[in-house]
Amino acid sequence: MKNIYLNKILTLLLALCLLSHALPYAYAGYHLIAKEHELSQNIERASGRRQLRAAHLEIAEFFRATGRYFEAINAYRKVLEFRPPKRQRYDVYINIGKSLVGLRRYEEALQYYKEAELLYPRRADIKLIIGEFYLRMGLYYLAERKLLEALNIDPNLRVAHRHLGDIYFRQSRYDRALSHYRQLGYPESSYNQIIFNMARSYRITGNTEEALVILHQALDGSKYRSDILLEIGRNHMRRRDFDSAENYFLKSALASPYNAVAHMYLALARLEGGNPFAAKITAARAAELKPNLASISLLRAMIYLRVNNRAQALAHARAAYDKAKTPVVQSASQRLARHAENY
Amino acid sequence: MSEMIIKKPTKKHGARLALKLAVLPFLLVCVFSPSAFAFTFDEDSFVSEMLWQRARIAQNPYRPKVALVLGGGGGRGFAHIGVLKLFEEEEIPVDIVIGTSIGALAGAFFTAGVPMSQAADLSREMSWGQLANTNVFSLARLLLAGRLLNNDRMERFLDKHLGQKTFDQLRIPLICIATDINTGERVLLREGSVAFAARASATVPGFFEPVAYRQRMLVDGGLIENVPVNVANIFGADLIIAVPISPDIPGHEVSNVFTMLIQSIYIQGRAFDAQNLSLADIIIRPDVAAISAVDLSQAQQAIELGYDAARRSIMQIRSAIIQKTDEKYLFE
Repeated sequence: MKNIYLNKILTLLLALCLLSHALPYAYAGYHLIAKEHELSQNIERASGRRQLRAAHLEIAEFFRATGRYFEAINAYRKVLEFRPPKRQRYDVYINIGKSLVGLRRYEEALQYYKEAELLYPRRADIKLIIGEFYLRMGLYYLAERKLLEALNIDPNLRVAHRHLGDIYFRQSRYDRALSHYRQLGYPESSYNQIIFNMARSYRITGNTEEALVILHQALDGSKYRSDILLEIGRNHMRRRDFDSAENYFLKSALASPYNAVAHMYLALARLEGGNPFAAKITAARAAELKPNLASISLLRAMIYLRVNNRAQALAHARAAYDKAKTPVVQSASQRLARHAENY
Repeated sequence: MSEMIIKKPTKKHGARLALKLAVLPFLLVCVFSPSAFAFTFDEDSFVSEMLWQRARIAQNPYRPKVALVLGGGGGRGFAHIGVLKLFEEEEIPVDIVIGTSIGALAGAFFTAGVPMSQAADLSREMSWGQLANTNVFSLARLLLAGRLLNNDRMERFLDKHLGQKTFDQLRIPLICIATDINTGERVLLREGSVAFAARASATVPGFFEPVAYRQRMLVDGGLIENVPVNVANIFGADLIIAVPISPDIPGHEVSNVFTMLIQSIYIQGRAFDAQNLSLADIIIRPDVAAISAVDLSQAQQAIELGYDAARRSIMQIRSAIIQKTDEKYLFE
């Protein structure tokens, strides 16, 4: 008896949960229909060019905000028929462009953005919009040019600096990437990708001190703790401070115990720090986590060479060669195997 | 009684089914949520890093002898500073630097241990007035009376910033290439004052007075060997990295006697360079063709182009050094 009532209560609770999730959507849907009806009535009631233009603009904004891009474009085109002033035309062109992007009609969107740019060629915001458009399309060279034009007009445009930093980082132009990232100041810990890109750029350009400052600042309260600790470790490796590197790689591995890469770097730091036996155990753990990675086998081969176990070194070098997917790893495994065999 | 004993599977089944359905969205969220791991792992980078750790600090004879050859090209040569800046950052081991003209100047700063950031700052402020007597009177004398300019100032400028170093005080050996204008011979300068040697290597014939050196009169080494890769071979380099800074021959406007003369020199130089460059293992080509040899105002741009070109070649350089490093040192 008790069970039956318990089941009923549970079912009721579940139903209430589902209903409480669905209700806001149902309410929102009703609200949208009512709003659209109201805006349509505004158009019918409007008299004179100015009122009609304002009414069409309002409904166009509504359609765009609710993701109904096709209707939005039609409404914006209606606005253009009423010969809006230059400033308003500029906004309409941009909004049509954004709606066309929503419909994935990219060529047409670019045309409207360029129309807007012709209206105000010295405005930074339209150049930023076009730059972001090119970026979205993967046209990095064009994006770079447009973003630089935007910065020429407004050197404090943080978004443009961010995008340029990302573009240059992607192209391995770390110096330039840093010059733009620096304009953002020290990024908040929520900007994880910027932090990593900056830290990596500093490390690659030899400025490990600066890299460490950024990483340590980002460490507190970040949910990417394991990654940040790994990157700190890599900076210490670059300085050949293997003890500190080992310390941070260990923390990274503890923060993310199933992360094979952290274990690999830990094994490498231990090997370079003169502790091949500990490196052997750590590398074995990494291999358990990611058995198909050729670089782990290569690392294990090097460790076994260091402890003078040539048979195992040869076996792991051959395994690395079999698993290798790139010429770099293949070549290294081949050389190591040859060395283990012949020396 | 029997009704009470009989189980009612439909309600319990309904509750369990509802529970399972409620859990399903949470599972989907867990599966499709973005990974918390922002670090992307590249196997090639890891292996290169692993081997580079060893190779970059290896000493001879375990690693290859690396020669860096810096070509001539006037104002385009600021690109060498960009290249050298990257070499500094990446700790690329260099055992000998051989330079012609602006290559000799850049090489002098690098081998003397002047930080490349400092060299870059100097380059940005450099002008012809600091290097030679280019006042109106001297230029008029050059054009009307054929009296060549004097580039003593270049030597004083170099001495000031290089700390009056001699070749034996350099941290890396340097060879400056000059030409004996009387005999047409190539002259390798590798002793005495570094400032003097670099100046002699950069003495453009027809503009600057030749520099007297023992029984010779020296001018720019670019006349005979603009990219001296041959010299690197003579000194037994295992890996030769050449940095030519070629002009844009098709893009160079030929509109008067002077530009025609320059174009002729460019064309002749290109033929020599091509032969020499075939001996280099790695060629770093900064995209500086559009920068004029006489224009010193585009130093910053040239430096950046040199840096970018070197950055593009860095994996190739590391791989080449790793390949030629002794296996016993590399793996054990």
